Amino acid sequence: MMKSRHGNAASVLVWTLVLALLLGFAVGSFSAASRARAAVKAAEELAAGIPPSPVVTAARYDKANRSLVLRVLNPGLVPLQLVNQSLVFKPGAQSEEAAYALAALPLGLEVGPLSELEVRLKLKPESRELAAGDVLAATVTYTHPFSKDLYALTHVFEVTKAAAKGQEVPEPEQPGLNAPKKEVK
Amino acid sequence: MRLLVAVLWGVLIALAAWGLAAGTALLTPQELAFVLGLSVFMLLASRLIWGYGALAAFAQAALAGEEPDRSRAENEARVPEPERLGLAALASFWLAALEPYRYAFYAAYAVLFAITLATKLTLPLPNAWAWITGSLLLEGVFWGASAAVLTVWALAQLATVFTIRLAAHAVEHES
Repeated sequence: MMKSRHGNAASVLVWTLVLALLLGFAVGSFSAASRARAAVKAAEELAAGIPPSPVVTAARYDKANRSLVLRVLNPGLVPLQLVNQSLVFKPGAQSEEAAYALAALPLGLEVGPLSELEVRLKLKPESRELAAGDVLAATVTYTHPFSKDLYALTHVFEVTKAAAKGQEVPEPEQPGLNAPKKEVK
Repeated sequence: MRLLVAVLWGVLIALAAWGLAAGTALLTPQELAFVLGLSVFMLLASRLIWGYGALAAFAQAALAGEEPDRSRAENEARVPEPERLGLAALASFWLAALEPYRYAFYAAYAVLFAITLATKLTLPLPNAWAWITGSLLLEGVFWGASAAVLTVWALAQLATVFTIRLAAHAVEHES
């Protein structure tokens, strides 16, 4: 029989099999990628419906500007509006300042989705410098797009020696004043 | 009995429709685009697939020494007085008659390939998300078309191989 340069049925079959495997690999990864993309999109849509709750990750005393600076993280996917601030000051043993409270000073800040913002809370004007042992209870009220209610975030900041010098203290290293006390009936 | 068969067929068709609906509901838009591209190009290729398949079967039967049914081959081969041709010549003319359809099919695929590639090359300036999803839908159509093209290519190769072998066989027996 004359030998054909067009190959034979077996080689056509093998080549078809090889190409089909390559094509199947491409189509399979295309399909898997589309599924992964759809899953991420669904998760994002789900998470975008959850109301955000701000988290104070760190705090520091800004000596020069006489203010308490809170690092506020918005872990949600919708923006948070910080409406106003309140502050309660309780002097420690070393302080010469009397106790005071500031209520509802307007803030008007927006914390974007998945972002962190430094929020500057002004202390009482012309008050003395903070000393170790002082305690500040800072309350920030906020709203989010899913509710017309006003929510409050309270962060109790105890001034340590390091904090009195203006060092930033991450939340986990702060004295445990923010933990809820066990209620005594 | 006929009623029973009709009811069974009805149930089978309803089950198939249900399966198809449930299956497509579970697909992502990109996979639906793949199914769309596959079905459209399979439809375009139907003449080629059936033609090459029948030609391969015809040539294979002739090679095996059987007497294949000439009527379809005589209808397909575009040649005056096909009934006077031998089996090998008939198969060759049939193969040649399918050539314009194969060209048109590959041309459609090449155009789709060029457009798909062009959407991959353009910059996503106005709207990145719409560009990505739109481009991916076109890519899905392209992959579906590729599966149909592979089928046509394989059958065309097979039909060509059998026709050439048949021709070589005829030449050997004449000499």
